[in-house]
Amino acid sequence: MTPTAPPDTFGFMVAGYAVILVGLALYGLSLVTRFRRLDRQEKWMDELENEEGSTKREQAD
Amino acid sequence: MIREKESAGRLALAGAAALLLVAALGMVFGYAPREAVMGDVQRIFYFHVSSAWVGMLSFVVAAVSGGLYLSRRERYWDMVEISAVEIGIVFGLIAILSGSIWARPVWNTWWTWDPRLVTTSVMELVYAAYLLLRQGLEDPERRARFGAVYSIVGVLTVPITFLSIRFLRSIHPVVIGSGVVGALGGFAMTSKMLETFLVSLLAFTVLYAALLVYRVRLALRGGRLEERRSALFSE
Repeated sequence: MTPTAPPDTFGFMVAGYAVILVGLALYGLSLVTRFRRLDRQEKWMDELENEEGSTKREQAD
Repeated sequence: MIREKESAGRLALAGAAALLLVAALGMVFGYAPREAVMGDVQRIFYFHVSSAWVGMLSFVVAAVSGGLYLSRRERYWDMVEISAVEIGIVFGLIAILSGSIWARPVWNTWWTWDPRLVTTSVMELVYAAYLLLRQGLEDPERRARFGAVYSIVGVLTVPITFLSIRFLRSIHPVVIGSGVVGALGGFAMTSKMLETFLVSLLAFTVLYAALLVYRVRLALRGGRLEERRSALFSE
């Protein structure tokens, strides 16, 4: 009896790994994007606090 | 100095995760043999099960963090909890989608109302609801308390999902800890397959740890920014 060859499911395997790896990459990218947004917001907050501080000093003078 | 050490530790963890992931991919495509009945699509198994494992692990981490928050009232644990839930949802979704692609040639359908598929989807929906409901609460203290209780109750979906194929009639294969190879798509693992599977599990677990560390850091920084903002605008 000759063994039968397994079915050709290569395309499904590629699709499966594409979904897994793209999913992981997208989540990693979302973290990077959120870190960058946070950096910008922190800078903006620093500027606001500095402005607030200098206004208070001017008023005290 | 401490900050530099922490940063180096995070980078080392991310590097280890990347290396392990590359090694696992190499073993999946270059070391593990092609399965005789299903062909190449069986290779999805290595990352599919690893994703499902990390998803469930993450929901357990969220519940433990919820418990720690309730007992210690430290905001850090609330941040760990929400981070773990978010990552758990991502990995759970990856497991569902990759499983569906595997099922198409093996079960001849993308989806079937099998106990494992249903319980996994319910688990995902329970945690998606957690994120939505949390956003609706403005008071941080109330939000954290709600999240902690919800994650502790929600974790019940994890054992239900895990055990569903062991106690209910299911066509989903039980590959680990069972001799039920006869299930549709079930297979006996050779030693090379087992080694590949264990490396994949390790790679995903380390990747999970790295993602959690970064996501918690993001949450903590976001929390500090929120505090600064409310302090500035309440003056």
